[in-house]
Amino acid sequence: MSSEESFYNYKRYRYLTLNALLVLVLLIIYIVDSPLGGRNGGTVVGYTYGIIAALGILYLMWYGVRRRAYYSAHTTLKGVLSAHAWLGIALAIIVPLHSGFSFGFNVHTLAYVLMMVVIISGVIGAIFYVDLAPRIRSHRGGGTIKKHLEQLRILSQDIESSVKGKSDRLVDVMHKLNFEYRPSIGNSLFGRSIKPLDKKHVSELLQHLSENEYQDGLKLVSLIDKKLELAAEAQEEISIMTKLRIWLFVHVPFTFAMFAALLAHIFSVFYYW
Amino acid sequence: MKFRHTIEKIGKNGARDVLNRDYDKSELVLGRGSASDIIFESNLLSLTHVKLTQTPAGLRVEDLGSLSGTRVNGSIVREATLQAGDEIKIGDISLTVFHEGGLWGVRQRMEESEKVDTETLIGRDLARADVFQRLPRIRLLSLMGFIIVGGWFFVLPLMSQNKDSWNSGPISNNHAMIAHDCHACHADPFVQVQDAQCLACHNMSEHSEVLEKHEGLEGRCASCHMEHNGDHAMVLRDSRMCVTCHADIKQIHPDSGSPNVPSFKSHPEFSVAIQPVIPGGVFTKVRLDDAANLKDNSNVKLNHEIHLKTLRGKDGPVRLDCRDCHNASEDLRTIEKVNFEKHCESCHTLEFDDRLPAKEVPHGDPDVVYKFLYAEYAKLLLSSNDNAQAARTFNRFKPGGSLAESAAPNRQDDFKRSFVERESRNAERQLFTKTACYLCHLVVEKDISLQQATDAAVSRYTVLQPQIPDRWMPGSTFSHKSHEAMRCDDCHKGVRESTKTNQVLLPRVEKCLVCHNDDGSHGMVKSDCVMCHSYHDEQLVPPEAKRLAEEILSKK
Repeated sequence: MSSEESFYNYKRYRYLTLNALLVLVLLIIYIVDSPLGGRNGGTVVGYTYGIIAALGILYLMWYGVRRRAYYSAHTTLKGVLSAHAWLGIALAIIVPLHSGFSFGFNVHTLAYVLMMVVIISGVIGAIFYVDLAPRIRSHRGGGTIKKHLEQLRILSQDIESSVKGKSDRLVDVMHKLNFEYRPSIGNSLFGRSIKPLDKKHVSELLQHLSENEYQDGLKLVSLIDKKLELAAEAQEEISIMTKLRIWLFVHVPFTFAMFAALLAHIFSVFYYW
Repeated sequence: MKFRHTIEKIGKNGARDVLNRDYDKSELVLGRGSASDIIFESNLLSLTHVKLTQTPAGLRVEDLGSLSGTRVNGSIVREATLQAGDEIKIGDISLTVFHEGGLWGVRQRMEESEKVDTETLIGRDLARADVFQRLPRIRLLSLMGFIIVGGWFFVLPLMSQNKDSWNSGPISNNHAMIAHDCHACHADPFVQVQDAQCLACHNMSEHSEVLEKHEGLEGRCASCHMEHNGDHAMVLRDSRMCVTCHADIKQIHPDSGSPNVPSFKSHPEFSVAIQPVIPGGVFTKVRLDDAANLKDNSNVKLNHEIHLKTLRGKDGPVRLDCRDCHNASEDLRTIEKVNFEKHCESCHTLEFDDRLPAKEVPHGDPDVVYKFLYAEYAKLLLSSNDNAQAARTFNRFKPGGSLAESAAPNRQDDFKRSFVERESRNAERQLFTKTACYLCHLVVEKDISLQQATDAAVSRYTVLQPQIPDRWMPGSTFSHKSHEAMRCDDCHKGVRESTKTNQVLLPRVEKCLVCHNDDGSHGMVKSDCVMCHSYHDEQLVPPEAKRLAEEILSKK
């Protein structure tokens, strides 16, 4: 893992420290506080923690706006992301303290469950990011998926045209070794990895070629080999890009579902005060 | 002999474009290589793939050792003779044999596919690889999530559907029948539950003594009676509710007269309600450590020491136990008052004259007793066969009697009356000053003349009304039931040595502290204020306010 500063250790874990302190203070107050009737969301501490958590959620949701504004005079996006991530994790603890750990089959607990889905998907996204982002940069040639796909197209055409007018044996070698690569998210996540050519198999195939076609055969094999290599890279690239993005399909929609539940929660507890 | 290769191009819009290529040959070689007659640009074909020959029997097809083979009507063949309508397939190319006007040929159908450049193809590949393009838009999913959750859990409950989802916690069993009627308690939106909602069902007297004392204290019914916490919080048992003020009540309410009580550990000595000496007066509150004033003015005489020793009963020796006289009430909370008929009569008879064996005066008003005596002696006189005999027997000069009064006219009647009166008064005096009544009651002789008493036929004695207390601490909810397993004299110490009735034999607070403490530490019983004190007395619902179950359920 690279030692450079990432969002999680931004400014020497500034936001981890701040949020850990916040949680610690709130935890101590929670333990010391002993309200009449037991701890719940309706005590002074309960209301206070509820306000803190609600403001926290608004701040976390504001990140969705902030990340689209690339330039800000005061904050860097990395700093804001760092605060976003650590505050999100802190909320997983602050919210149960708000409720006094009382849960049930109701909109109040639903809001918490949805929030936990958002937090967990965010943590998974963060782990993906920390784990995978350096691997994108480390790719040879630094090729993007688009570059890979372009090269694959060109290579496919080269392979097809390399056997034009050549003997059936050579075409047969091409048919046996060549493959059609179709990029697929499903295959990149769950499919088998693309393996390089089996040298023994290749030399067996090339044996049947006439002497003057042997060079053509070698050229064909090297083209197919290159294609396989590019396809494997593209596959991995797609897998990485997918993992870096797919958690957002949980994180963002569940954020809005949670926000609806949060509004219902706040409204209902005061409507039926 | 001609051979025709028809290419039928079908455009995207369905337009057909037919191109005929005629070959002046009876044999044609089809393949990918330049040596073929018809050249197909497909790497799936061999250089020379198949040979077609026109014969009288039909179109002969012969595979030229191709790598991918030749199929006729779906099956691989090396050679075959075909008729019109048969289908040849080589590589990815399909050809249909036709024979029209002596002309053999093959028809190739080419459906025109859209012409796409590499740029577009790469664009498609990219789209396939991009999760943002493969899955529904995140904005759409977010909107759906917001609408589904918001609709189900916000809008529906507002429309009185799925209302239980707003329930913040389980309703107590007491309110189970109105659990689904939120408005039964939450009358107005955005307003905390008001006391009026509680009082609609619960008849709490406004004049409840304790409530009155706490008038002006902030708080609603719901401040102490917390709903939506299941059953455990309906009555808030937390001493801090009281101690917050009572720890320093002298400062906060100097007029209250209450001592400062910061905890049960520092609870002051118990006070008891002492009866006034003269019945009907005001009870006074006396602390158990105030020996000078702590006197039980019950107006009865009972020596516990004697009663708890072996006694001489009607049928032999008797040994009494506390419970022989002090029965617990049905709910075991209080002790029933001692009752003559139930507890005393079996030993203490109210007989008054050996000549009238088994005759007992009634236990009650002295006037009634006197009238009973008078009647009994009158009966005795009348039942006697011989008045003279009776006179002889009874006409003795007795102290307190007066023979002079017998010297009136109608001497016989006067004699009888004076006899009955004399006997009755004698027996009365005996009962009220020496025997039965006197043993237990405080008796006072009336300051009236004999004549007055005779005229009115009333007793010459007054019994001070007994006032045996059944609740020494009327403000306490102490229950004997919880203490059932303990010996009575463990708490009521000194009973066996007690000779005086006015001794108050109640346990001091230190006795309670043997088992009870504030926080339940050290294996003690956790004891909050409301364990013994009630904050307000519940009043029974007056008859006019009583309702049917359906009315209560339909309460809005």
